[in-house]
Amino acid sequence: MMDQNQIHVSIADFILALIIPVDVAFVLDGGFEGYVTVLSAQCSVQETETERSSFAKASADESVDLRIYCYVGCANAPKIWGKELYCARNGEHALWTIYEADRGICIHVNDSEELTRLQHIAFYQEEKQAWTIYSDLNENQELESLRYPMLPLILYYLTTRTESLLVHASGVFDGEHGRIFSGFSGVGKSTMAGLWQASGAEVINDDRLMLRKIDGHWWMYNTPMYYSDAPKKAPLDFIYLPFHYPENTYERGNGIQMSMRFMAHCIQHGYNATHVQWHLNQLMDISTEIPITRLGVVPNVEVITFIKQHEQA
Amino acid sequence: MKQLISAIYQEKNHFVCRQTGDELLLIPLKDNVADFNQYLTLNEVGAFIWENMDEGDDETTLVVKICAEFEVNEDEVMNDLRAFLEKLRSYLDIQ
Repeated sequence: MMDQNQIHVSIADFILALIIPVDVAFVLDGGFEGYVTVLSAQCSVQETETERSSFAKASADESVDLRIYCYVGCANAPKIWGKELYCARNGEHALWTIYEADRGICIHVNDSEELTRLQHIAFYQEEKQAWTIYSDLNENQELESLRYPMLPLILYYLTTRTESLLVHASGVFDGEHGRIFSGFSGVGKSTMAGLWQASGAEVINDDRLMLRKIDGHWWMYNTPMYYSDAPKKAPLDFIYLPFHYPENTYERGNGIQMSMRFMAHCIQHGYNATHVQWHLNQLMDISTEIPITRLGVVPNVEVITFIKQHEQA
Repeated sequence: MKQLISAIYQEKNHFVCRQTGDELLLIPLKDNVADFNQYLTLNEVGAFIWENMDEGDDETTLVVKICAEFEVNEDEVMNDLRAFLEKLRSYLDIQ
């Protein structure tokens, strides 16, 4: 499936200009596959034959994880949303607002740098795994349909129906084992990634990861960031919850308390108990298969030896 | 106590549950987002009460349900049930 002309999608390097041909097959961060269909600026109501054909091709391929249809002009979006379900706020202003819509939801996404400016009106049909995104052109007349936070939102909704979790964590792979270090800002995620990198390990990402269960095994993937990066993946063998401490400490456990500590770092844009239940099921699966450890950390290279010694014990 | 049981019953919709071994894990939904730091675990009997509680129940009907499921003394169950419901009152912040 789609092994030709695939492109990797990330926030920084995937700006959908109108010159991009319609019906681009792509691999999304996290290893998901799908189609992006870019429509011309004037076509939101009367689509051309090419565009109709493009829709048909993308819709017909049932093997893909998702389809994204991009339109120009928020004003061209059909006014078919219903009552508000959830609003993610930053102070007084909305980052994005989720509304009921026919066979799915509608999300109004504001510009994260200018929260009073509407950036996207996006419709998501869960059953068809299809997004239809309306966006205004930027100052360079480019269509940034997946501009932050749109693509992370798309990734999030993929985790609501696939065996996956989106988590605040850094991830490293030393050629033998994959380890993630999960926690909120300031616990040392990037510091740990840097220490492992200095010791020769590959950093999958130092801030946010997609965890996916594929063929019975959990993997970590990088996700779109503000900078360009190649798609990366590694097996997941150990989950650590680091915190700064005067000495290195190691507290392993797979009980509910440890699972909930980890779950608190998983990314949720929930408005829906079904999604929470789904994520809880994924968490219980991952916590029975991957050891979770609270890790008191003195941030120097000795912690790497400390970790490896305890993993072998 | 019947009012308390009714109030607890009303709160059930604001939780996502997951059975883990003999325990029932309850995750509260606040503003439609799960609060994983405020989870609650119930043992086998607590889980039974939570799952089998109906809106019109009072202490007596709950005791009858519990005694029908577990081999226990009614008087002992009544005391434990009251203590359990009071703990739920506190956890759920019911006045």
